[in-house]
Amino acid sequence: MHINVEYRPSDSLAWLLLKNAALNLITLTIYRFWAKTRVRQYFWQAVRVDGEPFEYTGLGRELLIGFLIVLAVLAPATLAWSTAQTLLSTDPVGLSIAQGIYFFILFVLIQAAGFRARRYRLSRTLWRGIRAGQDGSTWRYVGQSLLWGLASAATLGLAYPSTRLALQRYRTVNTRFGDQHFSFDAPLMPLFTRWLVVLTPLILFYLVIIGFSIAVERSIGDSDAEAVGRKIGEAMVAHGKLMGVALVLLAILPFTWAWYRMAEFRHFAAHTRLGEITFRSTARGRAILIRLTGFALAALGATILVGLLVFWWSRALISLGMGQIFAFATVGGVLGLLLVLFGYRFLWTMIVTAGLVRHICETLEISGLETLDGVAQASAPSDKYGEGLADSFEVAG
Amino acid sequence: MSEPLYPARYSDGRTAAIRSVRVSLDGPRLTIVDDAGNVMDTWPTADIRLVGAPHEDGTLRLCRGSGDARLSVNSFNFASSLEARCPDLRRPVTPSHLRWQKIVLWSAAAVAGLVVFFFVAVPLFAREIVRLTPPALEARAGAWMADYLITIMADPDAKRQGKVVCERPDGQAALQRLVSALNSHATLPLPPVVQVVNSGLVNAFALPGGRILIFRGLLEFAVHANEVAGVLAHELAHAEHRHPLQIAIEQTSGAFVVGLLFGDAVGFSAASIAVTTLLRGYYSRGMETEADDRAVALMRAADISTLSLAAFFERLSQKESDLTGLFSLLSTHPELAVRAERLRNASHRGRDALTPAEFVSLRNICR
Repeated sequence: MHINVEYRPSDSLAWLLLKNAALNLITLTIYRFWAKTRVRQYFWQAVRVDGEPFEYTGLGRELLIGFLIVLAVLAPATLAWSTAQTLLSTDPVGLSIAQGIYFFILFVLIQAAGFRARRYRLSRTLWRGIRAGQDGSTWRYVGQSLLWGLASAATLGLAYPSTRLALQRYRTVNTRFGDQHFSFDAPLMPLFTRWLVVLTPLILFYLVIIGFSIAVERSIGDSDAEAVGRKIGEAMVAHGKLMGVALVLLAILPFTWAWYRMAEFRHFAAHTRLGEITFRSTARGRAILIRLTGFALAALGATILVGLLVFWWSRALISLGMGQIFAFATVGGVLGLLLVLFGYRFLWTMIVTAGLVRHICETLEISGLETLDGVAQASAPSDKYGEGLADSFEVAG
Repeated sequence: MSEPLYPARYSDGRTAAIRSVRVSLDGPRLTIVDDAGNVMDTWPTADIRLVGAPHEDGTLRLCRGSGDARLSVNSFNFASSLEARCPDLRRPVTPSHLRWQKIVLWSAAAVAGLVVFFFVAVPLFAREIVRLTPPALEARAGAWMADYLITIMADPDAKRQGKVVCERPDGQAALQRLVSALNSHATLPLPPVVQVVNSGLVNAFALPGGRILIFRGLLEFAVHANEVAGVLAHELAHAEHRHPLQIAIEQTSGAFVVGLLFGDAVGFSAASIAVTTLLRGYYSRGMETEADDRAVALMRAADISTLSLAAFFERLSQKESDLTGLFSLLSTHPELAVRAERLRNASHRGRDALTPAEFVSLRNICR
């Protein structure tokens, strides 16, 4: 028996997001833990399988406490770190070592935070009265993502699909619904051939750029400072065709990337099982492109609108006797900040997040659900408090 | 059975099975029976809670306390009868480890912890680290920072001619005489290195390791050698107390934790920038006072007159816009007037720092 996942949101998302933005502003972002919880409740409840909605049982307070715990651990650690950083930065070499260590620590923390946040979210996901969950060791996951990340970098991106596959496997086989674990048996090859379609133009793009830089370098030779600008301009004109090729190569990247991502999702879904239950997705890459384009246009429109508002309101203030620069700076600063802090995020959630969740749900088909009745609640204790680190690194959606 | 039975869907929270059941409300209990009439569970009405918002078709989802069992009922009559019997239907259920009292307590502890962290731990820690840092290591950091700042802050013309640091011999000699006079009573860990940057900015600041940068613009802005001496004494005082290293450590620690507080580790959001600025003001305020007091003492020891200093600082404050950098002469504190007043009170009637000819040489050090 095949069942399609439904997406049936109840209330207005826009109203919820506006309320959250207002409360975030009033509380200097401390409300963000509750805001996040409300948004998750909204999306979880909207997804229905076999007429039964998902349920998010997490609480804002859990996220707050998780955050406080992380703060208590990280605040003293920053003292040690800033000292090391200041003293290491005695020369360019020392500075690059310090930055290397910094990015390493940041990478490890982001990966660990992402894995832990996923565990928390799954433990707060309820369907048919059964909790989901995630086992597995955070540090083994971080180790894997570190090694695979290095492999990806060392092979100039060739190993990227293996990286994605290995991490997805670790996450999936460690995910449970009740006491039943998911299984995962996706082969690499179909992904790899598709990935070559993404990677080839990207590598060509870099080669063209390198070739172009060498050409410019040659034509500059040892000219003095004033001639350099003119020579670069001349080289640009002379190698205009090369630049055109580079731009075309770059312009197709969003298309191939979106196509790859959804193909990857379909591939992963087709090779994920929960006991006898199988999944089939017909999600399309163009769904991503349509939403991203929609977001870009909406963001552009919002920016123009804010620009006009700044112009009109500043003129109104100036006519009331306020200084010209001061009026523009005040109105522009306030409105621009609101746009950057809340406006773009609002449009992103409304258009991209909600749109893609709907598309992914409505193109997902589940078979064998009737075999699910035997799945029992797992007695494993769930996370007491939430996420913590993930809040700081924006990895928890 | 006298009470009406309503059809419902029930999952017991133990297995993923979902069953068609019938429910009835009798007295203080809700009874769930299967199609064969067997009682599957009874829920005290006082424990019944609504899950989420009612669905648009009127379906209510119910749970018992913080348990995992769920019951979906779609019946208007049931809903109204339930509302009448369960006054707590919408009251949230809180697990014991999340009671509000506990949250408030922890939040208060967190606020107290942060206050202690920012205002006690960070300065104390930074001061200790500064004490433990070998001056030679600090000097290397300072030299590197100085080279970097000189190259980015020098005037474009100066960069083109490759003369970013001004070193005309007679000006250099005058500067050296000024530095020696002031430094003879100071106790810097290493001899100071004072450089004049070929830049029109009216500014001067101290860097770690006794590095001091004076900008050409400041020398041109000064009308008397004693004014330059005052600035130099102030920066030497910072160097003597190793303030530049201390504030670098304090600022990085502070900024990182403020970033965490506002939900971004990078610290870019507007609120965190504002708080970081305030915090930096707090950390540097004590240092500025300390440096002012010490500067007057150094000038007194060198028998240089401090009489024109107050007026000079007041004149500088008119040019505030130029004064940025790691250690500005004037931070944008509200107590500028207090500062000038303190300098006025500490006045010392001494000799001139340089002869008029030497002062002219110093001003022309970049020519």
